[in-house]
Amino acid sequence: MREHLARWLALTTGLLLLAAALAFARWQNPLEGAPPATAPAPAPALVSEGSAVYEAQGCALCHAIGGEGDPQHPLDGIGARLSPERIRGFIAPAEAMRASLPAEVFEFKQQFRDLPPEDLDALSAYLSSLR
Amino acid sequence: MNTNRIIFWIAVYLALVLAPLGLLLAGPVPAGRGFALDAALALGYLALAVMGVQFLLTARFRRATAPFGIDIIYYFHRLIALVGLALLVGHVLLVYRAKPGLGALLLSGAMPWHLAAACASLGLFALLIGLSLWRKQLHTHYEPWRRLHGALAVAAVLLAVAHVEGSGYYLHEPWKRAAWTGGALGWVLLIGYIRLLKPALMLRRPYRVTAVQAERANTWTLTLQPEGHAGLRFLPGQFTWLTLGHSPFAANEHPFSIASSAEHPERLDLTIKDLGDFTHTIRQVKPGAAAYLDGPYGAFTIDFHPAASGFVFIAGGVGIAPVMSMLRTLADRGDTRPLTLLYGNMHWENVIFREELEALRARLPLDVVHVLQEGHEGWDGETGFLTQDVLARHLPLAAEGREYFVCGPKPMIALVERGLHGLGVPQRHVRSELFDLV
Ligand SMILES: Cc1cc2nc3c(=O)[nH]c(=O)nc-3n(C[C@H](O)[C@H](O)[C@H](O)COP(=O)(O)OP(=O)(O)OC[C@H]3O[C@@H](n4cnc5c(N)ncnc54)[C@H](O)[C@@H]3O)c2cc1C
Ligand code: HEC
Repeated sequence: MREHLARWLALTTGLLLLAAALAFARWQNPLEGAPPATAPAPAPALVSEGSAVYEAQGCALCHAIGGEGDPQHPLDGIGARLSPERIRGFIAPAEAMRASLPAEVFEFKQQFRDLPPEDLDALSAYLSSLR
Repeated sequence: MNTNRIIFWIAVYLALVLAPLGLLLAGPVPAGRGFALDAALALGYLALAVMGVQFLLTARFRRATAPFGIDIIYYFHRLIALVGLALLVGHVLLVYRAKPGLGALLLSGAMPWHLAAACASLGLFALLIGLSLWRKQLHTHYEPWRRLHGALAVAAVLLAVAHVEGSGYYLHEPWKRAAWTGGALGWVLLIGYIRLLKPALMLRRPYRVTAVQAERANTWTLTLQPEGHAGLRFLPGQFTWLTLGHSPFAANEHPFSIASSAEHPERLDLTIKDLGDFTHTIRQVKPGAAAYLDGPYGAFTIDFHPAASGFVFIAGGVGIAPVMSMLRTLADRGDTRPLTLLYGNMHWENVIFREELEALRARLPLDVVHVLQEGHEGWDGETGFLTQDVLARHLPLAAEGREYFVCGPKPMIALVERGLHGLGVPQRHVRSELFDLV
């Protein structure tokens, strides 16, 4: 009988923890910020332009796509996770993104804020196409 | 029962495992990185919090364990470890799913140290839990298992902390990182409390063996007296961890019910059946030997039910030990409530405390019913197991407000609990003590 109480407590706690994890994830990713499941694929021209910017800016110094580059921070599938706006926030982080990156990376990425807006659009279109 | 205290300690537990996750959302919060990945990270953080608090659950804090009975805490410790492992596996699978590129990293040989720490930690947790679930099948003795368990737990949690240090998104803020790492290390330090401070306190409250008395059925009663202190204030039916022939620092201790009267804490009897390595040595213990106790623990006591109209005890074999404590205490207090004891044993010659029970009937309104698995020539009492039929014949089922106490081997407890349920005794009036904690 006493085993039942322990079992019930453990199971309830487990479900509560699962709910907490899901609530945390939802809080961090309100529905409106999610990439729409049926988002139109970015224009192929923009994507290949973005791929060129990715190469030129040396993103592969820290990131990998399809196993190419530094595998510590793979970007495969990122288009399924983050909306183009959020992706852009990570490429050229504004002050509000300070807490989202290691301090040195945040400083390093400040230079990308000076990229022409077309390049940033192309970059985020390229990464959005990785699903 | 003491429902309020139970709810309070459950709330404390939940706060301890959930608050660290809440901490991640304090101050400047990193941007979300997609529902699946953030859920995965939250599962990882929660899993580590659960594993950290495991150290607390087994630190035997008396105030926190008392309202539950420590056996429930140990069950919970075991089950919630499985929950923690499930969270951990969920963490790994979901991270992998959200970041498919990581698979290549694991195979590349360029694995960063914090991922290596994560793999090692996961492996150690799985090993730790596997060894605990299958300890008996693996024929591992309790003491070496316990030492290994502690060492694996410390290593697995430290590696997980290293993983969080190295990869902890959400912890870029230095104070949050410090709080997380410090908190996790704090749990590990509890081992220091258990292994050093607690034994040191026990060393200051030693006991002396004053007698070793042979009982029937390969059972021995050890009598202890406190040396230079007032002894153990306990409730009748509670138990204590006994260290004998070792220093308390050796962490070589065994749980035993106190069989003597709670009205006389200056003299403690432990009635111990020879069932294995340690219990086999009791007969050789010499009066004068030093002993150390950690206790009392347990919720198997009449004193949690002062309003009961009477008590029913159902014991099997050495399971009589905590019941003797309750009967002796009731007799010393001159209690007048009606009592029933159903006592199951193999043979008449195995019935521990046969004569004393007879004598107690003169001091208490006590009915004693012996149930022998094998009756002898001329035995006209009950024979067989403690089945529902036997219970139905002897229990005061019509009486209101009786509290039931069941103690004995596992199969007997299961049989009796089923029988009582079948006879309509509400579960909340039945409590049992299992001698098989680990
Ligand atoms: C709450 C409680 C009250 C108990 N009261 C009594 C009592 O009054 N009289 C009595 O004879 N027995 C009692 N026991 C059982 C007693 O603790 C075990 O029989 C004893 O520890 C066995 O040790 P051993 O080395 O002789 O046997 P082993 O051969 O080492 O082990 C036999 C089995 O006993 C259990 N065990 C062994 N060591 C420990 C330990 N340190 N802690 C927990 N479990 C262990 C394990 O399941 C093990 O597989 C009680 C147990 C519990 C949990
Ligand atoms: C100095 C190393 C570095 C460079 C160079 C760099 N990044 Fe990053 N980037 C990071 C780190 C570190 C993160 C945080 C990822 C993490 O915690 O896993 C990150 C995060 C991101 C993210 C979010 C990733 C996720 O998993 O949510 C995107 C998108 C991104 N970077 C794009 C880029 C692009 C595009 C470039 C090139 C213009 C670039 N980065 C250059 C280090 C770098």
